[in-house]
Amino acid sequence: MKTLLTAAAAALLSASAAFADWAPEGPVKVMIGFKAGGGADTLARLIAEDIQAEYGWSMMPENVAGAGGGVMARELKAAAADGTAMGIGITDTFAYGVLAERDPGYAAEDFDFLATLAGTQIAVVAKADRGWTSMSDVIEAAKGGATISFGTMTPRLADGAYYIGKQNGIEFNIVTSYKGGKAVLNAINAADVDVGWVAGPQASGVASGDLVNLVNGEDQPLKVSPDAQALSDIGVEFFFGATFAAMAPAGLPEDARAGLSDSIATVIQKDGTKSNAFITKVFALKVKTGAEADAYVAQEAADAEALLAATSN
Amino acid sequence: MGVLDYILAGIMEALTGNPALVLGPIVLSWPVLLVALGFLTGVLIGATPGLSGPFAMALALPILISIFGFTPDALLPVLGFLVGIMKGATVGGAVPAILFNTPGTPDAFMTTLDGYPMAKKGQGGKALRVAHFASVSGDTFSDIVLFVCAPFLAISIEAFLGLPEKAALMILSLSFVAVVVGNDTWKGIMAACFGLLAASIATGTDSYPRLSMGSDVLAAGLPTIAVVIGVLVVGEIFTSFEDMWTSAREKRPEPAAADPGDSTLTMAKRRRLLPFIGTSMTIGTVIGALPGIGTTLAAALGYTAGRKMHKGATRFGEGAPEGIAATEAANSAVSGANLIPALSLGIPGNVAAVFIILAADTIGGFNPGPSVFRSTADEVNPELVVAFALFTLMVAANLMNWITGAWFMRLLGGLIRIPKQVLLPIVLLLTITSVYVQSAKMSDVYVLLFFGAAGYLMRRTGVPILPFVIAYILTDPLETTIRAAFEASGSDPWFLFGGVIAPAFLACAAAIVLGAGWLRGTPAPVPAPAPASEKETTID
Repeated sequence: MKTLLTAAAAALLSASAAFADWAPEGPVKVMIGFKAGGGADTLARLIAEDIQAEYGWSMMPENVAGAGGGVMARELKAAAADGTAMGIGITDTFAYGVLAERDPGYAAEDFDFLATLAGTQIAVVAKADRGWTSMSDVIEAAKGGATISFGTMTPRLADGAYYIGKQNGIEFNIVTSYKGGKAVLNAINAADVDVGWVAGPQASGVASGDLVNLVNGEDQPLKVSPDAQALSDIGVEFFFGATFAAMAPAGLPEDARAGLSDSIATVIQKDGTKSNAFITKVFALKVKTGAEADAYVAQEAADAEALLAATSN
Repeated sequence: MGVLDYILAGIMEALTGNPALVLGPIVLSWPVLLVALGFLTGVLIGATPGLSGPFAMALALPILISIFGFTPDALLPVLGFLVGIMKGATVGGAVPAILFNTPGTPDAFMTTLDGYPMAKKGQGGKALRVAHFASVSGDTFSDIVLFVCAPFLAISIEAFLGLPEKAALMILSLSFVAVVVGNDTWKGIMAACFGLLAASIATGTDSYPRLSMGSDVLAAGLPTIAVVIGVLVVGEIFTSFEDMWTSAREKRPEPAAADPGDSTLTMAKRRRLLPFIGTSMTIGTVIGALPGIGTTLAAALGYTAGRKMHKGATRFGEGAPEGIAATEAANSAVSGANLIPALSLGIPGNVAAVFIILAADTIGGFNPGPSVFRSTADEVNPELVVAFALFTLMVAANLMNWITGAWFMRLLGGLIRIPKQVLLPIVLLLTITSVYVQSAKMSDVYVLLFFGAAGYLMRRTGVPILPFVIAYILTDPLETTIRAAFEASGSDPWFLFGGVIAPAFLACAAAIVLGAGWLRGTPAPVPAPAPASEKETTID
């Protein structure tokens, strides 16, 4: 028995030593699913920089934008599964993105998810001077005959806006063409739309009292307004936050997967790294690795399917 | 933060935010360093016949982006360099115009009329001084107008214009550009439509990237920098190659550089130039604030106004310093004012503004448009800090221009003139390399060459380039705004015709397009048929 334990311990130790020793055979291509300059791009480049500093691996970030991360997914799927190619994007691409597209050219099973990285701080936001303090106030106003325009930046969030209206017997004028939370925020400030989804950049405006988080879109309390109304209060059982994630082509050797996963999880959680500072400033850390990350994406796909079913009638 | 705090923050950001060199209390920041480099490059490029500011901006942008990357720290150095080039090229263009009777930039053509006669009379140095004094005055004045007008214009746009009005305003600007550039309204509109089509690839709200025909290269959208540089620069180079091929080598005798001679310009003489400079810089600023009308028209109008005012012994065209002053003040005043629509509305009016917007779009963190100038009491708007930092850099460039410009212009008097058949292949190679370096993709080079060929065909068929480029840049905001306006109206088909302002803008757009023929019927004070050497740089 003792020998068995020793053997097991030795095996474990050597295994973890193997993970720690793992290093990519060449430069690691980091495909970024979104345009240069946005949240995903900044996050990915900082992680690459931190890993390079911490582990000495050579990381080569590259923007492969388009189709909401889908172009990156297609390119990554075709890359070698040996630890020299990884992607950084959002889980949405592999859940709602796959389900809502006619022919996405990839599926969640084509990838090994290395880690989820960070969660957004999404909420329905309005200007404070409108006098609304919660989404219920807006619904009340709409029932009283007011026309409410609702800014959104992804099809899933547009579905969300529609579903909020549907559950409460009203209809918003949903404006779907914004290309990011920042654009929606500008539209709210310019009074182009009445309310809208914003996934983090609203924090300082909410803190200063110029803006209000009417309802929390996340599955955890918002950092800047923990008491914001919950979606369940207005009859909505889904959540709308986005989760940034790192992934690799499916079939990655176990040691490579663990090596990449560990390096990412380490740098983003370590105090003082650039990626950690960025995440804690703009988003919220949300780290799950390995099988847990796969499960997270699977759960999100199930939720997306339920949302699609609930809104398509 | 109050407005003063923002101005202060902007100045600090520009001067100390990103230090390149620290010597005790003296900090030299990257942005300021790059403004200086850009300015020197600009003067040199402007003074080289066959090249112009936009050429240098086009070459520099991809290289700068690959050096500085996409971090927020990259924004100001890159914008600073572009601003430096813009200002340097404006003064540089006058040097060969005066000394060699060859305008370095197309807008310097009117400068040759009085500049070269002065140089022949042995007053070349003085002519350069006059050109510099007028140019810097005009430039500085128009920058001040920009600093004052852009924020107010942006804030009022934000306060009074809703989504349909903003969409209508963009349609109006685009129609205006399509009509005023070039000689044929319908060709201008065709160019704009081609721009809209090219920019629509891989956009739209459907998850399938439209017009991409299943190609993953197209699904990422066309690389904007490659498209713009292709049409503007590569197309121009192809056209010049063909010109050289057909006309063989020009055997024009090289005009000898005249002795710069007496180069003093007393205060009294400067004072006598002031009325001409004042009139011209006002004309230039007004022209510059309208999208699409270039420096060449401003120079022509300034010169004409100056000729009417002039009562001195030396007539215009025979070497009157006032003629140089009137021209240079007008064409230099365009550059600052051109950024008014670009910064406050996000609508670029000329090629220089296109590159500023392109740089901001590519690097991110700064989206020229009304939202830049929103200042709230508690929240820091980083874009406003960037805007004021950019203004600071423009002031720095002007100071540099005031102090070193005249000296630098004289220095260039003895510059070696590189023949076009040597220069252009180098520029072409540099363009291809810089586009490849920025993206590391061969597909971008193919796009560059494809749009270079398109630019060549457009030039040969008389289709203007500027409406294409501006439409390309405006497509995305235009479509987004129209869609948003439609959706926010609750899918009302008449959403663009609600209220008073939006229909008024649209009516103006229709009137401009339909009335263009009549406008062209009235004789405009355009310069006489340009000499062959002037035709080579038509990318203003």
